[in-house]
Amino acid sequence: MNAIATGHEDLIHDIAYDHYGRLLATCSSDQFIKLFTRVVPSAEWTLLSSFKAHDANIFSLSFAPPQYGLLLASCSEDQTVRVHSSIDNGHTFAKIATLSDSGGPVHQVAFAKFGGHGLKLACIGADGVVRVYHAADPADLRQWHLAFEKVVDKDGLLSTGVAARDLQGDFAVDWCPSGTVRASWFTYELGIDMDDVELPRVDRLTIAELAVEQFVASSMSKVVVFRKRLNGGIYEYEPTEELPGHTDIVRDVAWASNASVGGRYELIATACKDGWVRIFKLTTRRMGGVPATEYRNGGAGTVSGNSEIGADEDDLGYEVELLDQFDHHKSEVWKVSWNFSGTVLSSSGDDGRVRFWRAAYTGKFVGLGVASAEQGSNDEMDD
Amino acid sequence: MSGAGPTSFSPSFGGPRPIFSTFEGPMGTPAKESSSITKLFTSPLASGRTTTVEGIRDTSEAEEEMKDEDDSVFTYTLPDAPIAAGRLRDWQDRKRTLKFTLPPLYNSGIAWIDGKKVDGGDQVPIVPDEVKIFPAEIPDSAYSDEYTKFVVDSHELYRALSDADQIGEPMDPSENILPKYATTFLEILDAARRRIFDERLSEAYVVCHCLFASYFADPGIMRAEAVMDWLNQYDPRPTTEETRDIMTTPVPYDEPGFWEFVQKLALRGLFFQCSNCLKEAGIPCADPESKRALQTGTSILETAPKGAKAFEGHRQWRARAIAFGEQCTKLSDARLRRGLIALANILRGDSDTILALSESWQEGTAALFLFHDPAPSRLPEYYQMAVAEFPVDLTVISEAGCAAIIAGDIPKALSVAERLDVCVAAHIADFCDRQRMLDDFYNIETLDLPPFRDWLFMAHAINCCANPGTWFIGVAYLKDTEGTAGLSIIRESITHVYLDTEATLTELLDLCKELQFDTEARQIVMAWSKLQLSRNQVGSALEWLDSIGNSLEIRAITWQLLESNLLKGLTLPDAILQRYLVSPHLCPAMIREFIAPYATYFAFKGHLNEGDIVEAAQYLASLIQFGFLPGRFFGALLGELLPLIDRSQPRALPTTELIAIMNSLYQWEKDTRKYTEGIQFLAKSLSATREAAADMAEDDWRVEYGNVSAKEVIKLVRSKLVTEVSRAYLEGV
Repeated sequence: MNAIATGHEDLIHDIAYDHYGRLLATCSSDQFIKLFTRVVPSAEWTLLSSFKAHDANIFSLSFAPPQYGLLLASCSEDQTVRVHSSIDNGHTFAKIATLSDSGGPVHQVAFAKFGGHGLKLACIGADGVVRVYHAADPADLRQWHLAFEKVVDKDGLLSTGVAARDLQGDFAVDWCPSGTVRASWFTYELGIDMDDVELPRVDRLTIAELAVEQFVASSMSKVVVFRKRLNGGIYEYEPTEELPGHTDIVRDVAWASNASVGGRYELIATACKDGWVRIFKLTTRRMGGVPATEYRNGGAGTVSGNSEIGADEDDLGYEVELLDQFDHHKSEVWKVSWNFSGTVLSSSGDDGRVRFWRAAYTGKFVGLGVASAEQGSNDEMDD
Repeated sequence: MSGAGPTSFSPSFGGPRPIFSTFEGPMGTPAKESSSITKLFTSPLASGRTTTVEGIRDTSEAEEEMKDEDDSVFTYTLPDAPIAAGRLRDWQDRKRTLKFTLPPLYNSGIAWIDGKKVDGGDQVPIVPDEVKIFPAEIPDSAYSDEYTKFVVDSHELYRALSDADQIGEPMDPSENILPKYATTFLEILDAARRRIFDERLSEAYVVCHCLFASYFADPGIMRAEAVMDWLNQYDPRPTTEETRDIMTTPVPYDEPGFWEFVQKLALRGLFFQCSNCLKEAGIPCADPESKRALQTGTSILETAPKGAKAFEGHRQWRARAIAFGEQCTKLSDARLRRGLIALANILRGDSDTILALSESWQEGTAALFLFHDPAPSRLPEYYQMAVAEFPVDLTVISEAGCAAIIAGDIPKALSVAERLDVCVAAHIADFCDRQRMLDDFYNIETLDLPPFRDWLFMAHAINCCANPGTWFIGVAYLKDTEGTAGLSIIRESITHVYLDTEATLTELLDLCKELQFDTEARQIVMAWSKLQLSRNQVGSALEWLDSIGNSLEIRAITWQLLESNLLKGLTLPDAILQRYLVSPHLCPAMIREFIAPYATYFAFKGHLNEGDIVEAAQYLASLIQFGFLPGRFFGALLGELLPLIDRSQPRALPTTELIAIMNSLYQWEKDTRKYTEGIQFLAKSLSATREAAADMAEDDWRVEYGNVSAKEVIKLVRSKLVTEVSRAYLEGV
């Protein structure tokens, strides 16, 4: 399939697929969003619609789960997140909400992927604050309320609370796809091992599904997992674990599906300016009395120990382990993306290459291949 | 999975990885025919070899080492690649970077060029390539049509085998069905690789053929013969050229390479060719001993034991070969003597001769297996002898896989096969699993890992799920895996399957029901109902929502129906909705409950159109007084009342109704939020009239009041209501 001219008049900053992968939205500094549809069976992308969505650079896009209709969120340098709705399969969009709580340009927006949590979107901007909005009434998607906001890393910001425009900064957020087995949570909740329970497989799967609402956010070089936990009788998001070891600005974060490992652990990938793609393994364990983080910067597989933020005795949490890290880009890495099962990771960056990593039987990741944007790269030994 | 990849990937595969054979020329010897039974396989694993997860890890680490040492991963160029060859540095100097994202389900993503956030923004002018998007596939994962056929055929065979085989039950050797299915799978794979012309699939075929020859040989063929057949097929020797160079000369025997040629034929088990060669070569038999020796030699070659009885007959035949060797020592013709003795040494399985004449570890192993002692348990021993002379070239993936197979390290072989083609690897793992060849592999190290066969099937199934048209095949495999991972993958992907038709929807919901995926079923139904709404199939959407008891959505849709009609005028409902509106008793209870306001409005409009003003007014009045009516609709409904309370019309509402409406109006105006929302909506409704005046129905009340403000409309309604009450009073009703 050949390259497709989008018709944008400025650089494209983000691309988002709808839930089925049949619609593709692009956003640009030209302030427009363009929607493309995948033609069956040729699989070519053709332009479906185009509309001006913001009054400044548009940085990020996200489609909502389809049970809420065709909803597209965008965020921009104009400090807003906007929600657009289409009732004609993407031929036209109407703005239905503007969320303008951010104190700076909004860098990334992401709808919660698992519809079971309700219609929620998270965003993070140059003020370093991650915000979660909730549309409680599916009958009225114009109404969104700010359910949560928290500074991810106040140390990385200026005293004004906003990253300076003339300095490099980056912020990212991604939801846990969830909706899949969380056997480990079940194990800890009840204090029994799922494997010891004599249950039909399907029943076990159903029981094990404790849909934990969680997302990962990065601000400058800090990456933090937020999870909804019971606190004083109410469930609310809290920063729970930190993914350590980043020595420069984190450009992107991506939370993988845990389906292929049967929910035994979570995988989160980060793309960093320091040139490393990192894959963190988060395994559920009971907190309390575990030594603080001892992160040895270096080789892949280094165990980070307990990196929980403010862990309480008997809390459930993740043991964070650096499963793998790769510096093959030999330059800044800007984007990481998982396949649906969490078995293939892509990374891309300044070397003009997309690198693919696949999970081997042992759970470790190995190189799968490289797609190069530089002509004549076939047959080459990639350098 | 080379066969899966687009043709554009293929060139890159040829570079870093040499291959054994290009499969040109004849593809091996004719099939052996025998009806007798070969001795049942004895696993080399049982002969002391302990296979661990290290076997798997080794191959992963080998990949990693390779990657670290020379970074030799497969590279392909994006179509219309935007960076000119060798100009990466220039591109980077433009402060550009490459980004890529994968879609929710499929294996084909999109790459694009973005600017780097440096020093307050990007000032470099844009070039056309920088506003393009570049489709890119995960290497070896996208199915071509031809490869899809292979996947489908393989799955059908897998299903048939599963139906025929009872996993876990020890099989009677005579009832072993696996060789038959293995042969069929090999035929399917052979056909696929010939259609697809892909080196990696061809390499996978070599590995698969080697495995099946070594462990799943047809009962009618001796295993050693099967292994030699495998070798002759993927690396045929002597070549067609060598045969022609010798045998087309006037006197082949006079050719310097004659004996080498004959010995190669023997070494490869090509007995009839070898015998014919000796007969037709013009060997001068000056004395009777020479003639007798030649006759003995050709006779031994022609009576080489074959088929199921070959194993039993081998010892006797070998004794004849030994005697033949002794007979040849007495020959006076030195050249003939040396040649025939070497031939005899091959036939009697002399390891020194065989290894000296062999050119590869495969040839040495296969020849020792065929001639020395064809007991399957000795195969790893022969392998060790051969590799001591000819090291395995581990840089050739298929060679590494075949070496692992011959050495008896099946998990490692499967791991290597997985690097070539995961579909092939999964299926051959299934055969090995059914033959209980992987039992020794599962131990303490694999406790936290899924069974290797399952893991391979999951990897294959994930690819199936991520390719259009093979999702249900992927699901079928996943359902057959142990543990919860397979079901989790189905659960993760099932909502991403596009609901193109109701048949797809039904199929997915049936699967949800079978697997008790209640949450996913609800999500799918909700997504389908949204699709139906976007297709204006409101009735169908409501029915599906009713099927999952989603009252919240039904309520939302029915209010949206009313809203849409108040804004755009009456629109014709679809067939299902029309049926429910006309015959409420046909309507499911939950839908009936929530559709009531819209149904009332629909009835009001119907009577109005028919000129039945009294009936129309009663429906409208009841709607206006509906206790749960959202405040935003109130103003617009009052507007609808205007034509009905005009003095030019006969009186449509009794006093009590008029007073009740006035009371509702009063209550609405008192509630600031409701009033504000109602005025805003009414204003929107009026402005819609102005924007689409031409499309408005003539009897739409807004045609007359389109230029009046919302508040004025309410004022007018109140005034008319008061007038109408007084009129009723004067008329004494």
